[in-house]
Amino acid sequence: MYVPDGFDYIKLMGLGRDGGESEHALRVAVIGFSTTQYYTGVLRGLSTASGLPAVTYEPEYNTVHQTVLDDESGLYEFRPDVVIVLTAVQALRNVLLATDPSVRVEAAEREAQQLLSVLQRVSEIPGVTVIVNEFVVPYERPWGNFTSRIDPSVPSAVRRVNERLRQLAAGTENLYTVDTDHIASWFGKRAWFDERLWFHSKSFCHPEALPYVAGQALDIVRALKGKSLKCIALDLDNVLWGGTVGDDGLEGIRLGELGEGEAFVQFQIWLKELRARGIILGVCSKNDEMKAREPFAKHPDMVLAESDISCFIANWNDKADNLHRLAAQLNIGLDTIVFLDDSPFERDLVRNLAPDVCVPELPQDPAEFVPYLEGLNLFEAVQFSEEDRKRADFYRANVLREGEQARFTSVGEYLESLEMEASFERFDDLHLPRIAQLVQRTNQFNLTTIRHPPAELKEFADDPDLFPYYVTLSDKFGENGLISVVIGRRDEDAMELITWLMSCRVISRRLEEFVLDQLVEVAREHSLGILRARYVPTQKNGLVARHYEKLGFDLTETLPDGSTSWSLDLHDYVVSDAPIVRRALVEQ
Amino acid sequence: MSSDAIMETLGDVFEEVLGRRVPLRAETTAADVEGWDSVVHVMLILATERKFGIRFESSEIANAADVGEFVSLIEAKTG
Repeated sequence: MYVPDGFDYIKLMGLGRDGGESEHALRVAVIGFSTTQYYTGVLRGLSTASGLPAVTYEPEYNTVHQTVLDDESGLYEFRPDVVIVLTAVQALRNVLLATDPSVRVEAAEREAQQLLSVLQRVSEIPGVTVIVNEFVVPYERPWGNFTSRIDPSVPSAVRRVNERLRQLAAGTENLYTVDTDHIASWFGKRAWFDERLWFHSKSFCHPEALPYVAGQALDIVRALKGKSLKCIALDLDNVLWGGTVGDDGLEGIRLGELGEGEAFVQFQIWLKELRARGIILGVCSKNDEMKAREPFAKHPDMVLAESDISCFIANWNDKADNLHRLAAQLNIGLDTIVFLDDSPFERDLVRNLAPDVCVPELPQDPAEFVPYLEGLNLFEAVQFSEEDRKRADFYRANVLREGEQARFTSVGEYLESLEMEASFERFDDLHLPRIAQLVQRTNQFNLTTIRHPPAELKEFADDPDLFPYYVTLSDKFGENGLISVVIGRRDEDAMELITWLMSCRVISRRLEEFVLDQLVEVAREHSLGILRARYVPTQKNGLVARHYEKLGFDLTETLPDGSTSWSLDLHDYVVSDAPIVRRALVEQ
Repeated sequence: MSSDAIMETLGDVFEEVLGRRVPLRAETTAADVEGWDSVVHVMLILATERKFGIRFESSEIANAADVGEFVSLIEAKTG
């Protein structure tokens, strides 16, 4: 995560100390095989600084097993949203070194099993997310470089324990690992392992490294809450190439040759890889648009093509305005955009006028771009699906669609021209990861915002009293992917819609009318005569407050919290004329 | 660096760690300063190392009896 300069561990611990409790605070339990106070203090500071306030619980020093095994312990009473398990290789190495090398592999396995049983137990806490720090591979190498080839060596044994942690995480929906060995290497193991602090106060690393370790646990939490960054908005001059294309011309910009030009090439390669993993690239440049596009089309050393840019804005307006426009065109929140600009003036302007945008202090030297940005871990992923791979293309097609829309005089005519086809299918295993992702992430077009856990969604698929469906949409510009989920439940002679959500990518396409048509058909097949539904307001879903009203439902109840209940008599339901053809799902 | 100057700078270190200015005298001990617990103690040690560009040995981390002794230790290291 990006934290402004000057927020070192001392400042963060101070901030954590002063952080007030709040009703909506994240409840984080930190349990560990080391002192936890330094970590927890920094974590609280980072939580406050990043607008995700947390209250914390720590059991007594080194009482992990007692705390976890005792159902009455403070851990369970605390009802944590997140449990963070801090490992300490300093403790593990001594356990391993105390065993004879002939049985050390077995000893490592035993230690791994003990830790796994702790993790399994805490991951059963209802609604919890468990984050465990992997072990840092220790620096002692009795065989020198040959150590990694000796199975009973401590580094080899520790790597094996880490492997077991990752295997468990891969098979446990709510368990995530922090690659602590990576962080320690990045920070520098010589500085990470401050043995004085381990001996004196059982601190598993130098506290200077804690903002990285705790920050990455919070990155995972934010990603799970759907607060991930989705888009990189790029300035062009001195960001994608050296120099100013408007002044220096196509031949004058520095790109591709040795030295500085190669740094820009490397940065573009880095961006392209992020695009392939689903991060949207946008351009936000003060430039003449023709000139700004020229390098993309003509410069032989450009890595990024115009087709890699989902939204291209180059003009002389102020950048905060342009970022608002970019967000609107892509239909994403400003708080999902990271803005990269070499100009301190532009960065400051955006921080002031579009404070939701993430604006890191991009270094002056382009060779520092990638290492600096990697250090921020801006793009944490908690899963990866086929959908992610294609995301940037989806968004680009969307912007093209909007260009098309301008040519039509009526929305209806435009929608007709899109030649939309949609599938409406009952949940299946193949699509569960994407369904789960959409359920976790969708905030705006989400009627009840129930975050069904993945395991529950899987059970829904086989429940005869439930009607869990997903929707995919394509049109003449290409696939939009799996973009809507609706879950109904049999309630005597009615179908109650417990969840209805849709990606904002496909808003205003009359897809909701198509979905309702299909739901009505399903209900009728099961002799259900009424559809019932609820709207539960959140800070973000005002967009759909009138969703059921627009679809012809009758309001039956309004509660003090603003939530509303609706009902639709299917007796005289007329199928909509939404210009969307249903087709069977064909896998590409 | 004179012990007065060290004491002055040490005041800044305490402020950085504790978030407030505390009156420091040679005879001040941890018991005299609210919030100076074992965690804060380590933070004070590390912040002092950073501020003065020095490094304490294991034996020195736990042992200074009062601020005066701590100042002498820093004085010896900064030469």
